[in-house]
Amino acid sequence: MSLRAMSPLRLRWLSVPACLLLAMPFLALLQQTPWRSFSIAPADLSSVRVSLGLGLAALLLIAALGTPLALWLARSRSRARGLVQTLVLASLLTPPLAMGILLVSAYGPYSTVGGPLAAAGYLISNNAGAFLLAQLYGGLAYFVLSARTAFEGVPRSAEEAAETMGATGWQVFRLVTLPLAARGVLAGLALAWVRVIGEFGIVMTFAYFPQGMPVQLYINLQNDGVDSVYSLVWLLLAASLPFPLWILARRRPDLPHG
Amino acid sequence: MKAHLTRRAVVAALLTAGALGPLAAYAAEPIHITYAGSMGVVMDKFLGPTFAAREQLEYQGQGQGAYGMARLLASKKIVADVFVSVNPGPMDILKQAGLVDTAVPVASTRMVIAYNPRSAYAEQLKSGTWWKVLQTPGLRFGRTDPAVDPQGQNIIFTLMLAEKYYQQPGLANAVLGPVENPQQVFGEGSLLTRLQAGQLDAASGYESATISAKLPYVTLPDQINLSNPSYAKEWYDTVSFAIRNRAGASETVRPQALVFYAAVLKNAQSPAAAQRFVDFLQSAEGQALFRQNGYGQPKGDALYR
Repeated sequence: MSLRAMSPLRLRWLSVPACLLLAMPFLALLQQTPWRSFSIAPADLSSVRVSLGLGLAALLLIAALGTPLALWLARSRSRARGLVQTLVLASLLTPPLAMGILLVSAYGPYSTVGGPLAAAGYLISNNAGAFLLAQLYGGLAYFVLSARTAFEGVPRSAEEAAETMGATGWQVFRLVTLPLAARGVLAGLALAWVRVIGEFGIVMTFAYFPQGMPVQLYINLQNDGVDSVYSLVWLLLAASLPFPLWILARRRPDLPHG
Repeated sequence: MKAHLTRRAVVAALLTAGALGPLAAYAAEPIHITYAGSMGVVMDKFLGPTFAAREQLEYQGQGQGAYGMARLLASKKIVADVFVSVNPGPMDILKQAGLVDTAVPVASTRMVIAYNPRSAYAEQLKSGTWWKVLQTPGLRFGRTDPAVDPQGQNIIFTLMLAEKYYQQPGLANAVLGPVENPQQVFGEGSLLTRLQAGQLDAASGYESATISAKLPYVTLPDQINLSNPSYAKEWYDTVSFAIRNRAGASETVRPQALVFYAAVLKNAQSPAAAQRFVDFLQSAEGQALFRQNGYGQPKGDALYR
């Protein structure tokens, strides 16, 4: 059965089960939220500040570190490419809880990396640095894979044309490659943002402090029960949804016609 | 074409059978036991399987921070047959929600100081005076969050009691620092991970969970280890501290003896099996399994009777 055989009407009906499935939790949220006693506590607000502030910093770091890697993966023909690709995928596939445990072993105060840093007076543990690192591991691989696909879609001929006109490597990237790949790269950022904000497994094991929204959700459940979770879920959605929505809404479907 | 369809139908039928087969194997309703997170090993590896084999039913164990679990049960977000709690606190939440009539003591434990055998301070902790060693600059001590975990509160009580018992004013503060000290406070799962991975030198622990984790530990006298209800009046009840709640207000918390309580939930799917499980925990066989895993005998009376 080819896609062409699917009339739009038929497709629409076939989409209903998935939509219902996706909507169900939010219908429950609407129904269960105690609207009369809806309250946002100071601890909730502070967790929003932590998540958004450090999340934004992590996103900038992800873009700065991930873009060169994504571009190289898209362009390189070297043998190392396959290896690096595997590494990125491995990072993506490692379950967050396992990643958190591995980070404890890699960056803890008695580890090869963490030891010298701790001796120099900076301990990567329960502080902004540890939190950033946890978020970085949560989002980097998602961004790299998404940006790589975007860079692969940029025709080499466009870049070569710019080069023959005397543009430097940086100019080619800034004026030709990046604008042509912008949609995919931004989608990668949106995906990384979603991962960074919602990250729980890595953060819970590796950076319990400062407490962002997911850890605060866990604490609210322990201390105040489910009702206090609902208000923070609203806050979490309100704070983190606009950015990916804005970016993904800008992506016009550019499917080939015919 | 027709042959294709038939083959597909056969494959689909086989796949369906494969997916449903394991479900059909358990005709009887499984028994769903919820318990305080620290009991994972004894529940899922010993008590649960033994009971399941004897009763010919499926055991499903679910562990989590005792307060969070109690709140999920109380709001009926999770439905289970039995709840096993450490301290009466989480059980009180279920009592208030009208979900339990009574809760019986099934085991007890005591606070210990667990340490990593490869730590540079391991030798000193083993043979020296623990409360002096814990004050060594550079020693990394870990504990859980007093805001969410009874154990996180218990280690603070233990150090406050040690301050009195050893007559060392300022001891608790010297070892622990502030209540929510980011240098020491970790998530429940993370604490054990860090200790086992050698990224912490020592940490607070329940004797039972520390034995399950195969870590060495320092035992503490009954006056400060919160295990003995007969010391409640004279010792345990003399300490308390304030903690901030979500709204930013201050709440006073007090110690409770470290007893594990089990209760059948009123909305249990299999109430008869649930009662048999609680009886099994109190039986000689159940108590032997508790003992093998480092738990002490049940202490004190049943709750709410």
